[in-house]
Amino acid sequence: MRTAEMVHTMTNKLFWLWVALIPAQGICASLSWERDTIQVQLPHAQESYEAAFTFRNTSREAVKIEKVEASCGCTNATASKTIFAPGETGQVLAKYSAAGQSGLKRVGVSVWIAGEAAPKELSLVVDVLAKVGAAPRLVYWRVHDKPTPKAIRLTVADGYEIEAIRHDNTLVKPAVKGAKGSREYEITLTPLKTGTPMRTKLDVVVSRGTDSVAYALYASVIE
Amino acid sequence: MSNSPFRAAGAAFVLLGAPIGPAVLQWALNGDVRESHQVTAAEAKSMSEVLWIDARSRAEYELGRIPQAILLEEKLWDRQLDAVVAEWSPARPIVVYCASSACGKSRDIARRLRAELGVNNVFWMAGGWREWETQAK
Repeated sequence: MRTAEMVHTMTNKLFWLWVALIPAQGICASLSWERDTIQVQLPHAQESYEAAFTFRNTSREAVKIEKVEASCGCTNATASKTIFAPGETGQVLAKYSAAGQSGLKRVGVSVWIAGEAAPKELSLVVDVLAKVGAAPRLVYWRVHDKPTPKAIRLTVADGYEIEAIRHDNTLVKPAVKGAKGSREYEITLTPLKTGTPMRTKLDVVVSRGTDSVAYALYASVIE
Repeated sequence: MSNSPFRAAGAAFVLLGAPIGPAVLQWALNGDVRESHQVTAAEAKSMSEVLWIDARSRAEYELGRIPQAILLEEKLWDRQLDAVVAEWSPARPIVVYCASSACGKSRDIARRLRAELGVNNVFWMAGGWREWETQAK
């Protein structure tokens, strides 16, 4: 047999061997997931959210979910049951608790399937909306800096308004810009002197009806 | 015949690559891929005047912590942030840690501190308290 023919025969054999081995290689995942990531915005009044990751067993054999784990204690993740027959659908439920949290949170959910080397990784991305938030929350000057105003962008939830800013008026002077009923305000802080170090806290009081929240801002003169 | 080398290369790639694939994925998931603002315990120790933030629970904090670390739990954020701000200065890098690499709180708290303090030198120690303790032994 000529060398070229031998190479041709060998490559053909390799190709068909690969095709035959596809199922054993785990290239085709046993579970087909509707989506790997769920993103959600959580209003400040809502304390928890349950995400459902739906899947279908697309293999020819029953699939066993051995373990489901969330990457943080804030989330309890479970599978709707353990064993899924071919063609059967199921869910992995991830219940997220927002107690005391705010901002963007990413929670990983690992699903361990019997016979698979690595877990299936799912993500729950929750944007927990606070009643009030600021960026930045702290402004500072160096000792002997010019006492120039520094701005803080304050965001409040729907219906909340700034009611008062409690502060030590011997250290810093606040000014608020923003239309009444607006969700975005600009608060500028100006130190009255920068000759010596100081640290002070201002409480921005926002309210809606009878609900009132004090939110701290910080101003410092630092050496 | 002309596409045989390509077919062979493809077959070899898949035959060799498929078993390796999960291992590569595992390697990536184990945290060997560095994320933004992630530091090791050794790197954090080499920084000067670190302001340590302990993102675990009060019970874990009371049992053992990095010296001078300040407790900052997300659920008590507004109450405990005062202590962080009182110690903070622009020259001090902040390093946040939680229990171990399985805990994502340190990354979230570091991100939140960067946003709220308006500074960039806030890091998270991926190996957490467990890595610190192991190195101390």
